[in-house]
Amino acid sequence: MNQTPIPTTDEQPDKSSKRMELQRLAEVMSVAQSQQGVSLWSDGWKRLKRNRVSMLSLWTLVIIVVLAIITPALPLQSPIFQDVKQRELLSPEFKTYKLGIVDYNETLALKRQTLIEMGPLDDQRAALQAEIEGLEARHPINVYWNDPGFISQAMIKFRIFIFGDYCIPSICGTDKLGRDVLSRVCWGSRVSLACGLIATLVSLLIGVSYGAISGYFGGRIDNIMMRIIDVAYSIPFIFIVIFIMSFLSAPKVRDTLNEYGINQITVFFLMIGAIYWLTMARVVRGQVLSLKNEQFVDAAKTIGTSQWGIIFKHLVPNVMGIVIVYLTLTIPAVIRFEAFLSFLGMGVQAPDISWGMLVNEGIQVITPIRIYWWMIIFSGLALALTLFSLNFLGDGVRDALDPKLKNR
Amino acid sequence: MVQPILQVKNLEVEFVTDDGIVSAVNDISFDLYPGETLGIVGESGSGKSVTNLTVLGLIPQPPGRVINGEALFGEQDLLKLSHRQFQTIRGKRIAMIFQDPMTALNPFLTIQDQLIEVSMLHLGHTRNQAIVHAVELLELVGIPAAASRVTEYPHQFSGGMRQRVMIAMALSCDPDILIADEPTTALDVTIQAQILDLLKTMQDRLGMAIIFITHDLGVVASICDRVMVMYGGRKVEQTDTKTLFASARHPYTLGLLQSAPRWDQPQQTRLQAIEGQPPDMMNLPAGCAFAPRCPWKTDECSVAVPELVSGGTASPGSHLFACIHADQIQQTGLTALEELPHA
Amino acid sequence: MQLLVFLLKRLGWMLITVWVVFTLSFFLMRAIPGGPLNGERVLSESVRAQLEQRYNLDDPLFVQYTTHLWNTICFDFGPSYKLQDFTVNEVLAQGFPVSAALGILGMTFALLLGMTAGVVSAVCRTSIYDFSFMLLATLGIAIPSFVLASMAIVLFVFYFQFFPAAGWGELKQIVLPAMCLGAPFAGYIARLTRTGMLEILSNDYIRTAYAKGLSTRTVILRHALRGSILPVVSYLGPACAGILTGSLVLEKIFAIPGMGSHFIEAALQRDFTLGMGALLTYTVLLYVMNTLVDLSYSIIDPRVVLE
Repeated sequence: MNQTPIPTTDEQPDKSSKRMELQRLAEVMSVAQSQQGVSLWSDGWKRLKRNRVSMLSLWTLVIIVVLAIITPALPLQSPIFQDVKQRELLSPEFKTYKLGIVDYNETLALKRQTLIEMGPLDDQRAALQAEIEGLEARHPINVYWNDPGFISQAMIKFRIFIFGDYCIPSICGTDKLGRDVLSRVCWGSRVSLACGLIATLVSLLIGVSYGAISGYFGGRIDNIMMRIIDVAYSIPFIFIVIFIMSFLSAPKVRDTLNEYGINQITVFFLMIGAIYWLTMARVVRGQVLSLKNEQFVDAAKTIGTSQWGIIFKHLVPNVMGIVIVYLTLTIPAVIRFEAFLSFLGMGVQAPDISWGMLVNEGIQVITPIRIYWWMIIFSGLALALTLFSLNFLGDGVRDALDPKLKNR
Repeated sequence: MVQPILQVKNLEVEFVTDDGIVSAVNDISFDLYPGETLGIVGESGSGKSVTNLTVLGLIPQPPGRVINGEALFGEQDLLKLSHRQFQTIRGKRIAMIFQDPMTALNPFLTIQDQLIEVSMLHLGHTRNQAIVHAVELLELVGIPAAASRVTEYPHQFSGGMRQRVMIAMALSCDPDILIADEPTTALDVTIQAQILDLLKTMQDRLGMAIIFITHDLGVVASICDRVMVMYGGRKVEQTDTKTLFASARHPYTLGLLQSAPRWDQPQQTRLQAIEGQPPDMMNLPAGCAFAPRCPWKTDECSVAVPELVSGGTASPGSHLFACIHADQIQQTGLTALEELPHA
Repeated sequence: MQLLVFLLKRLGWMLITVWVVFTLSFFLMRAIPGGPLNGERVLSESVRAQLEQRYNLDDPLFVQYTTHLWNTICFDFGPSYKLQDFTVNEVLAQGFPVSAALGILGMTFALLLGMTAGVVSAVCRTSIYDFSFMLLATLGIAIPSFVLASMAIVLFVFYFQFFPAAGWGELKQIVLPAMCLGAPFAGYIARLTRTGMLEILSNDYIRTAYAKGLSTRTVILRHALRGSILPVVSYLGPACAGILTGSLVLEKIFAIPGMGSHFIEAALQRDFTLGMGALLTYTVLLYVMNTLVDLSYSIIDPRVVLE
């Protein structure tokens, strides 16, 4: 990534010596090209691979992420369908559970067939058409999975195609509204992980740009920008977010937002990201400050690269190492924060599901008389396992990418 | 005959690292006599510091490991002492000062706190006695206004002053041996001379023996009685200072002499660098470790590690060197280096 | 003198911060429907007017802002929107000592446990103690306190019945929440102490200390500990913020009547005056904590100059 200026040679009046010089340079070039440079990344990856705990965490995370992505295609029960009478707070069991979608689909298909075969008798046809539309609207996919998006719907259809009505039994029990805990934990992972990803990306974008600009321009701009960060550091943002979330959950506000097509959950993710950029900005600024006097920046200046080009093409790639290191800290922090807010009822709102919310539901049903342990243990473990792996992976990445920070 | 105060015999130390085993010290033996100054000369990584840290039990174990050897201090073998036994020797009978006075003092404690704990521990001083003792010592090593400066922190002292504090600290229990590990390397030249003077004065006054580790032959000439030259963890030459400068026998020593400026040479004489790199301590070459850089090198050099032989004209053992070409070198001497194509 | 300048500067910045927080939350409050007028009941005109007057909602926005700002400067947060019989000051005065007790206990627990574990880990590096302490520390950091608390309740309250489930007043009731509150911070502190200690132990002056003949104990306690708690000290600022946040959930879980549960209640009920009061209190608290941390940093490390 570092661009070093091509060494200039003194002017040589003698032609043969010039040729020799060129020859020498060609030799140097060929030697340079034959040497495989070890980049920071491949070197880091090599070191990471040697760290067994980190690799174990990495694989755990890969499994969790893959499970979260393919959740709709897994033969799980509905995460939101309520059956209070028969399935309230069941302890873990192994009885199979059927969805009944196949029958429904068959009825629907039959009716559709009839519709096609039917003549143009208007009254009957209209009635049947209405009936079919009603059936489609009340289709179990919509009821069981709360109007899933396009991709999820495709995956759910795929799952019905493969597994039919079969569902994994409630091996993790059910909650007080009779919903399957296993399914809820799986669906909750999607929200929790998505939050970790989106919010971290937001914080990355803001933090890196802010820090790079502040560090590169320096002087008064830097001073003002850092003062703003100082003030922002002492604002208890967590409380402000809670404050804002309570406003956003006001029905009127929610309706207004929905009119503009803004999902409340999106606002939530963005907001979390918007408060986690402070440290990132500081770190990037520090790095840029020390990098901006390096020769490769001068080299870029001499070939006429614009200031923004220098910042984002030359400086930012060079601070990526330390940025990655801080990302490994930010992701678990963000996931934990989301869980924390959802636990307090300020974050993700039903019918969306997140791990924090599930733990809260578990706490709600704790009574001295009976311990519904499965309602806390599984969601809590999922959250803990994810955060645990992220932390260990983060430690490993830090050691691998930044040997100076070893053992921190 | 005077008995040596410290006898190091066949010391071997290695370090276990992630990349392999580094044999830092190979079969080092030397004697130290009361009141003398022994210089140990060598470039970075030649094992001179490790040798002395081992004698004081200060190498971290692991990764360090003493394979073989003994260090007789009086009747005791220092290498076999327990932690507790060592505590009664370190700082009291053998003291040490280090290269970088900037980092060798604890930045969180006042000079006074760091000075008094030695005499309180070893001499059984009360706090007040120890403070008086500390101020006396500081005055002795030439710190102006010692009584008022004693409560300051190290960062309020200059480098030279800090080295004086270190010396005061080391001498506070009147030790038998002072190990000085490159005490002047990190200092300005003028300060270096002052510190060397100070050490000499203190030696005259207190009579301790000094092991002086350095890579600077000028320093050796000004303070040492005898010199031991180390290369690649081995002793390559040992003699008294005069002989070393007059008729060194090992090519490495010669190289060192060549690379240092001398007053007795014409001003136009270019200083000669020793070509090549210090040896890779992880895989030392078979045979003589200096062979890859040696202008006298022949095929025989890579066969076996050359033995230390005594070649002194005076008493046997007064001049030891480890080179199979030593005789040839003696004849040609320093001039030979200039004629050789390498140099 | 230096100290005075430092404190005055800090005070100035604190006022700016508090003002920013105040302005931010004030306009958020006004921009979004809620408050005492948007309850479930439909209010008659007269009641409405009366209420508006009570909460100064009938003035123009700017006047409202200045009045409210002035009242806040005089430490008068006004009446609570939802708890009609109380002023915000009363509610906060009631909740603050409770939260403070919980926080201080949690922090003490975190410091004691974390530093001991960290020192032991660093001194017995790569031993089984080191390994298990660091595993526990990572576990403590990773598991959110509310998960820990819920599991602790299931285990120690209902299964083994060591502790009462909830409430406030007895020592027995405070132990479990304080431990759950402190656990993640204990983990962080342990790791910071270990790293700091390892770094300090590799310093030349530690070798000097050994060369003086000091025992390992003295070297660790007198020479190494001081430098190695510096990272811990600078972490205390964020840790205080974390303890404040953490106490929100723990007060909720253990039904402790502290400032945190009032704040949550205020946010859920859209009780803006109470929420604002709590928010400003938290801001000031955080600022004071950070200033104290910077002060103690300069006491521990003589090289640090207060700015």
